[in-house]
Amino acid sequence: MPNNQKSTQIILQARNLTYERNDNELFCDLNFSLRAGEMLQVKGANGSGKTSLLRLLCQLSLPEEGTFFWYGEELKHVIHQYLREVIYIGHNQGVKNELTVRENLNIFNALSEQPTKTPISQVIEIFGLAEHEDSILHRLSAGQKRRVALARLLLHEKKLWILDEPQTALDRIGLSLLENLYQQHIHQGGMIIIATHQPINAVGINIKSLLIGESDPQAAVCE
Amino acid sequence: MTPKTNKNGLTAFLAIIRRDLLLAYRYRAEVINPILYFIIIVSLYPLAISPDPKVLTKIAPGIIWVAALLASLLSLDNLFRSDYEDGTLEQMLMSPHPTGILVLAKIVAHWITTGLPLLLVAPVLAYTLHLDPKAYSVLMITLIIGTPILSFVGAIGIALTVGLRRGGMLLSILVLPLFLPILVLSSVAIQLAASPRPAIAPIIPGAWFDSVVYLTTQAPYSAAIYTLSALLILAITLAPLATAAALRISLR
Repeated sequence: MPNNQKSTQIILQARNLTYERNDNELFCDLNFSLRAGEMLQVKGANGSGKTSLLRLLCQLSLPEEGTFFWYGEELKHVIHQYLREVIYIGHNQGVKNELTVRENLNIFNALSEQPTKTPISQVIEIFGLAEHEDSILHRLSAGQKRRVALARLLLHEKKLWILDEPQTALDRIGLSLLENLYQQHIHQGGMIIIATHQPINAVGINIKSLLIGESDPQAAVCE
Repeated sequence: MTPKTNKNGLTAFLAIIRRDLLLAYRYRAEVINPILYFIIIVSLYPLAISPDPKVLTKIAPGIIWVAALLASLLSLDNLFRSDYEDGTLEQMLMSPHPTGILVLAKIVAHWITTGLPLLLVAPVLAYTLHLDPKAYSVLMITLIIGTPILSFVGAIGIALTVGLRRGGMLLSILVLPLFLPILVLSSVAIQLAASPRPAIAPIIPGAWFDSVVYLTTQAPYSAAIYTLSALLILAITLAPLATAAALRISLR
């Protein structure tokens, strides 16, 4: 693989993560690391804390214990550099129903610091939304809305993609588009953390998996 | 200076204002609602108390300000709710731009869509309440300074309650005490302006400087207006930071 040399350095690392919700320990002493060109699939039963883990990674919530490291430095010291390199597409997709496809992508572009990697009209085209460019999202189907949210992945050069069930509501074409995106991103040395139950059919990618929740043998350590 | 290819906070600030104004335009009903509420409250007083101009003249400043306060409380609820529900708020917090700047943009846009219309309606309502003609300018000054304070201070409260299912009640309890100084200062200023002492010095051509000096230092209401201005500056500088912190806590 072309990115073999690059993949030696650990870029993102989580050490001893413990997270509680309503006094319920969701996971404890969780450790994982990610190198350039790696993909991590977070698995676990419903309510096992997959989304919580992703939100921790997005710095939207704080762990009870544990630390993240980004390029070997503690994340809170390099938070600005980190946020520049991260994109999160969550369950709430962060798109506005009352805005058109183009307006949604424009506002997302303005919120980022980087220049666009791919022009917005081209991104719209890639995601098969060209006919709907000026329609309000409210009038689009759930799958089309999901495509608008995912279209943000191509707008900027982001190192780490954090995706929460990204394939929800997507049709066959949408799914293969998404899998192509994974492959491209990974081959360019990007990293993906994805929470999903479904198997990911991305040829040529090594997918690490991380199991959280009660079925995890590590969970025995928790009280 | 940031390099040209990079977008700075100002781009994001303007983009958020533009987005929120566009959303307000698409959802015109929600913008009209608080104004309608404002007009209804004000017009109920003459019916309930007395249509007598003498009575109304006396209570007009208070009525207009109480109504403005309630209308802005009503409109505040929408400030972050939809952003919270569709995940836009998470994206804003994850933006590398300072959250305070983005929050400031949201508050400014909110004031343009809710505070500014109140300013336009207020003189008409003041007229129906027989407000003393001497007090019109002070009424407008207090509204121009006061309604943004309501938006800024209210934003902190709404940011703290945005994650709660039924935050409306809590919001009123949380925010109303903070609104009281603004209510008191504003209505006192208007009442002083309407009092028999001349509120505005006779403007003598060529002596405009004297009139300005009188307005800013000797008019009976200038102390109240100065205090309001100080509160506004305090609110503009501190409220966005407090709101940003409150949003982070709410989303946790």
